[in-house]
Amino acid sequence: MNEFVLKVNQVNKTFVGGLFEKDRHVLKNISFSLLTGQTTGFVGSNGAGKTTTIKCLFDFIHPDNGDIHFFGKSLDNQSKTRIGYLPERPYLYEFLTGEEFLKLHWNLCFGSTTPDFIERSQEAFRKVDLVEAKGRRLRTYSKGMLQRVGIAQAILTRPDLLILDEPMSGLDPDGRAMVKDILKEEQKRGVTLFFSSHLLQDMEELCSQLVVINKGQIIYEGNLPSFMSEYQSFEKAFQVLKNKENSRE
Amino acid sequence: MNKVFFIAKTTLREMLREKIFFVAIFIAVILFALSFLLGALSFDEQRKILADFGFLGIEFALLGISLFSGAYLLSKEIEKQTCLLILSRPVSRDQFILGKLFGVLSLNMLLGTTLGVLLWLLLGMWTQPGGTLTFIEICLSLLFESAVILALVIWISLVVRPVLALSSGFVIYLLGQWLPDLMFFAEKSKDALFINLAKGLHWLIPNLYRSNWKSGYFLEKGIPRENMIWMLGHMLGWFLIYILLTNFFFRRKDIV
Repeated sequence: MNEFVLKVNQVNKTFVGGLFEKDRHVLKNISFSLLTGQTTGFVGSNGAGKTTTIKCLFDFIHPDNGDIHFFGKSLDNQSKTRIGYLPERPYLYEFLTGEEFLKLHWNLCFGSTTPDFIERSQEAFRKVDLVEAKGRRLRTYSKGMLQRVGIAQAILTRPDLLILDEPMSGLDPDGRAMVKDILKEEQKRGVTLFFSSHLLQDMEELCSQLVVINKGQIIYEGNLPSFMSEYQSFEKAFQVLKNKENSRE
Repeated sequence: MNKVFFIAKTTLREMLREKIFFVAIFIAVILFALSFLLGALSFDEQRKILADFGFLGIEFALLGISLFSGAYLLSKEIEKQTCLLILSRPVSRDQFILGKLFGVLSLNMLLGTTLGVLLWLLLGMWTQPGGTLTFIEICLSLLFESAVILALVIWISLVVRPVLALSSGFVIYLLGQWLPDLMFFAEKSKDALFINLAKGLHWLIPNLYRSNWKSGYFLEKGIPRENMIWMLGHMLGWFLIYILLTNFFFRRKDIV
């Protein structure tokens, strides 16, 4: 039976302006949910509120009101161990080696380096094709390698839910293909996947569900096939929805 | 507590790999060398000058680490968003702050011990067994002082830009050293406003003069026990106040 892995209900966020700035209401009654095992794409233009929403999920940004429940309860340490996360720009501790970096995340998750760390870290490095580079400092990694080691830390603990913010942005075609393969592998494992992108191609290839955000408001939530049958083309659908919402304002 | 330890260990590793530690040692060693040169000008005061400048070198090194690391410790994590991955793990914001803070404190301890041993050797303290305890007490007082400044600067850096936090920390350090003098001059002036201002500062700024025993005089004469206890209580109190304030502000901060 499908259960809710994440439920977001009526979340609002306003950034209070400075002396000569207006307050900015950046998230307006955001509501959506994720079911076990589904892959959901979070689409929106740049500045639509994707990253702010994801930051609200982890309480990096405190929402003004609304509820966010992971696995049926508010975010706590137990639910955090079941989530893998990759931020938009994975600036990592560049003074660490790839292996030290994964070890730090393992230790923060489980409190110590348990015996299965070696096996899990090797598996993660193999999946992201960084086995040979794991002993090097992250400072020496290319952008694509940093993105991949970021993904390795996200999948290291075999989480039930993966939240990835623009996992393919800035990558070359090879890098993008590799990230897609990793995500497909995670899908096969039964992971619930939630990732944001403004690249519609990625969504078509990977997602079964879709959440579309525009100017801080959810303008569509539903499954991808019905969305496609209604609008035929992804780009067209996105434009129609955006225009509809903009004209309402 | 384990998580605090892992974050502290990573912070210490960062500082060592970023060579901050060695820059601080270099500055302190220059001051030690300078004290030798100055000491050469005097026949009977050479040891006193070496002690004065040596302790000053240790203080500057610890203060430099506290000011620079403290000002950029959290702001860098927030600006580069490196803290996001850490906080997405089962780590609270309080644990994160404590980990970062203890990381820098352990660097200060390492630095204080290294420079302390070096100065101890230069002063030939093994010939004066009774003085070693006082020597350790003086080094400890410098460590406590740097811990207070570190916690203060971290807190300020959550409210203002790092450069401003660094300069505010330095100004408060100077004011903290001058508080008793300020009070003395205020009472001499008999100006009610001046007196109230000086009294007000006593409640807002730690009296760092309490830990100011960094001289050859105290090394010879020893530090009165009750003064040591007062210093410990005073520094610990301010340290805890600043940590609580930092946690309070960081818990409420949006990491945009």
